[in-house]
Amino acid sequence: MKKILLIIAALLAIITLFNLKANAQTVTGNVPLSIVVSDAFSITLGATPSVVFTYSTAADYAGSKTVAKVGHFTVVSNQSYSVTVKATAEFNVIAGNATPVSLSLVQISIDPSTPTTGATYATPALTTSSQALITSASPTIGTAYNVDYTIPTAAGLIGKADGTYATNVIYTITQP
Amino acid sequence: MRKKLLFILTLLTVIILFSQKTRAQSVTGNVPLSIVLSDAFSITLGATPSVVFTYATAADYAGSKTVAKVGHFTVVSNKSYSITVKATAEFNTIAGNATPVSLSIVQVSIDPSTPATGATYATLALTTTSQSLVSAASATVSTAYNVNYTIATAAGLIGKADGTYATNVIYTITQP
Repeated sequence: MKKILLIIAALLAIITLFNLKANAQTVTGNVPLSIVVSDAFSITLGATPSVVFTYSTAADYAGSKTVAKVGHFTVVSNQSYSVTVKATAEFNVIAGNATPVSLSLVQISIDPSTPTTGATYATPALTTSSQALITSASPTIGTAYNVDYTIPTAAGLIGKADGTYATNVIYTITQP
Repeated sequence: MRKKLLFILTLLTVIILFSQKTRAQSVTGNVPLSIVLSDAFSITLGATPSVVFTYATAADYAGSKTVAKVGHFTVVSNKSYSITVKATAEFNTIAGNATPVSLSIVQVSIDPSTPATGATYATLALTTTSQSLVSAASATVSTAYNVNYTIATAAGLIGKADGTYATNVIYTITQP
């Protein structure tokens, strides 16, 4: 009789233990989460975008000149993109010149110090029509380009009247 | 003899008076009162549980984004408790993506503005397996949690097709 009682007691204890365990259940809450992705891209110029070539000495005329613009523009694009470049107009004409200063003596290139973009770069000579500068660059959350403006030879600048020859350069980003 | 009788009468009166005084004792009613405690706990989502990240502009892609859900869920628990979080599934795939959008770009954390719970908090990148978000929180009659969802960098979102990437997030409360 005592044995049976003991067994029953043991059984009850086990059942109670299981009950406790069953109580320690889990309760859940369900939250819908979504990310809405749209195509977006931008090109933002750096702090001091102006590019100035100065020819004041004979040495200036004798050699090649490069104006290196670090962080010249920054691109954000969720898709692959390309950048073209053009000048808005020819250089202004200064009286007394037989021929105006040609845009094409200025070359634009992407400096190798630019972070990897996966793109193909070209070194176009400036014209008033758009030319590919960066082709098929990888999507980026922010790539700052180092751009070099080069006048390889001053041959196109000799025999010209003193003064400042100016134009504007336009960069255009496109997603394919 | 009469005197004796009078004396006895007086005595009896006094005794009766005393008797009455003893009769004016307090009477009690016994009400059994018990509180039945069972282990119980719940997690209840706030009014607008949905979490939506929107990437519409280049600026969205350039920075970090946080969706702060104030009173995201409320916990009631008679014992110390813990909360885990997981996603029910990977983000839906949209045709044209080389790789799907990873759950792990979304981080979940408890905002410091949440009332003191005595718990240890973790900041987790979402996965489909349960991870500990709130550990060993004190028993509470009601604690509303402020939860932050953060996409620290959009690097995992670029090069993806337009559209809405969605999943469900599950919070699970357990009593140890």
